Amino acid sequence: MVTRLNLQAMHERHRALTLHVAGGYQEAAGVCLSRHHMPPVEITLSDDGVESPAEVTWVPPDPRTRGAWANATDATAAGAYGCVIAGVEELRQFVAVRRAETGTGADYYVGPPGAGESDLEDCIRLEVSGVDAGDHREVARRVLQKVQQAREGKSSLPALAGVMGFSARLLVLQDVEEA
Amino acid sequence: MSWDLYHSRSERLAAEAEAARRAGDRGRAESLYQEAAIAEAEAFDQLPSNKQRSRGITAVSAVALWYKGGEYVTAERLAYRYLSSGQLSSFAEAQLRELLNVLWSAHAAQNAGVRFVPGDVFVSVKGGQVIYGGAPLDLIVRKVEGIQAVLLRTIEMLLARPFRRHGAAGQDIQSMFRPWLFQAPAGSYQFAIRVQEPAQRELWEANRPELGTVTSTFFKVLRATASDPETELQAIVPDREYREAFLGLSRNLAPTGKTFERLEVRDAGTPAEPIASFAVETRRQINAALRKVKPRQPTIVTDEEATVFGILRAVHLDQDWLEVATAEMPPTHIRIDEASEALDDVVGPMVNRRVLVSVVRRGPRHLYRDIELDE
Repeated sequence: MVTRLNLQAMHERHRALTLHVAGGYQEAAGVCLSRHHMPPVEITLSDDGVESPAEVTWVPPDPRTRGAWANATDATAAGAYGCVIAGVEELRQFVAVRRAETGTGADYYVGPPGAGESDLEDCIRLEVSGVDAGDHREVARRVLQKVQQAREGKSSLPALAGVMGFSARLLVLQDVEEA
Repeated sequence: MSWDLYHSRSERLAAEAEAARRAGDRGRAESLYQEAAIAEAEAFDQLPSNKQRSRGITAVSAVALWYKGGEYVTAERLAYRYLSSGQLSSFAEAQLRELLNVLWSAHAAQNAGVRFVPGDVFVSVKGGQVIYGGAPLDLIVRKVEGIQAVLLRTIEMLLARPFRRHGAAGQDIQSMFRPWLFQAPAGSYQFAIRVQEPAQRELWEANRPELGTVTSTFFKVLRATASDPETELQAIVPDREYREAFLGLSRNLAPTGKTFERLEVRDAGTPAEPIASFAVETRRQINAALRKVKPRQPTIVTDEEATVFGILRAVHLDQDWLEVATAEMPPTHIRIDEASEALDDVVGPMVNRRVLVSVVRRGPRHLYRDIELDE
C-alpha cells in the first residue's frame, strides 16, 4: 500500500490544531508544493536517516488562495508546519498535542494520541523548518541548523527536528539528543 | 478550572492572534496575544511544583505572549516573578533570561520611538571571537558595509541601471533609501538595519521601486547566494554581471571560520527562521559559483596559477592594478595587473586587510583573477 502524507482535516487528529489553523497549513502547503510540482507527487520521507517513499496530494490553489499566501516566508513556514506534523503522524504515530509560545515563534509539542491533556511531561518538542527552492543539500544543511539551534536553545527538553523541502520533495525528521 | 482549560484557551487565542498578525491587523493581534498571556499565566498557576517540564514550558509561553502583545513591562515583571521562585527547570530559566534580553531591547527601542517591522533586517554573527552581545568592532563595521553594498546593488538592479564596475553607487541611488543601524535584541551578536525612504519624495524619483520590493528582492538575493548560488540565484538575477557582484559581496559576508563561524540574516517580521545563513561551507559554494560566472580569461601555455597572501595596500582599478604587501618582514610589494575586472564595492572594504589574491603568473607579471578576505 502506498504511504500517504495526510494533509486533510488535520484538526480532527491533532488537538493542537484548530480547524482554521489546520486549514491554513493545508492551504499553505498546497501553495508551496504548487510552486514546483503538480499533484500528486512522490516525496521521500527520511526518519533518522531511514528513507521511504510517500505520496502527497493537494488541491492546486486558486488565484485568491495564492494571493492570500503571497508572503513567501509565511507560506513556507506554515506549509512546513502542515507537512512536518503530517510526517510525524505518519512516521512516528505522534500527533501535535499542544502549542507553546517562544520569543520568536511557537513550538509544537507532539506525543501519542491522548498525551498533553493534563500536562506536557511526556511530550517532545517539534522544531519545524521549511525550504522552498533548495535541493537535498540545502535541506540537509537546514536539518543540521535546526538540530544545532534546538541543542543551543532548550537543552534539557527532548526534541525532534523536522524540515520539509518543497522543491526537493524531501521531508526529514531527526531526533535531537539531549545535551 | 484546570491547566488544560486555561492552556487550551491560550492556544486558541494565540492562534487567532497569529492569523491577525498575518493579515496585517497588528492592534487586534496584540490584544489577542495579551488575552492569551492572561490565560497562560492562569494555566501556570494550576500546575503543581512536581510538573517541572510543564511549568517551565508554560512559564516561558506566558512571558513570550505578553512580549508579543507589546506589554513589555508586564512581561518583564512576570519573568522576574517566575525566576525569583527558584523552582523552574534550568532550560526554562535560561529561556526566560533570553526573553528578558529581548524585552529590554524592545522596551528601549519603544521608548526611543523605534519599532521593528517586516522588512527590517536582523543580522547576527556567531562563533569564533564573537561573544554574547559583543563582537570585534572592525568585523561588525565590515559586515554593515557589506549589507549596505548588497542593498545598493539591489536598487540598481531593480532600476535596470547599467552595471557599475568601478566607483560608488550614484548619489541618486544612495539618497533613495537610507539604511539605518539599530541595536537589535541580543543574539550571539546581532544588529538591525532598516531601510528608510526620504521624508520628501523628489520628482525624478517617480520610477523609484517600492521599499517592499527592494527589501523582498534583497532577501531573495541573499537567500539564493547562501543556499543555491548557481540555479536559484540565476532565476532571481538573470544578468551575469549583477550575479557576479552579488556573489562577490555575499562572499565578503561569509566567514572563513577564523574570526566568526556563521552570519545569519533574518526578516524582523519573521525572525524565527533565518532568510540566509552563511557558514564556512557557504563560502566554498560561492567560490564554486563565482568560478562559473566569471568570464574565462585567455591563457598561454607558460601561465602558472598561484595565490598571493598579504595585506591589500593599494588599489587603482581605473589603471588596472592593485598591490599586496606580503606577510614576511620586510614585506615584498607585489603589483597585480589586469585588475579592472574587480568590483569597487567588493575590493574597497579589503584595503589594509589580509587578503588572498588568485593570480596567474606570466613571466614576471602577476595577473588578477580573484580576491577574497582572509579574516
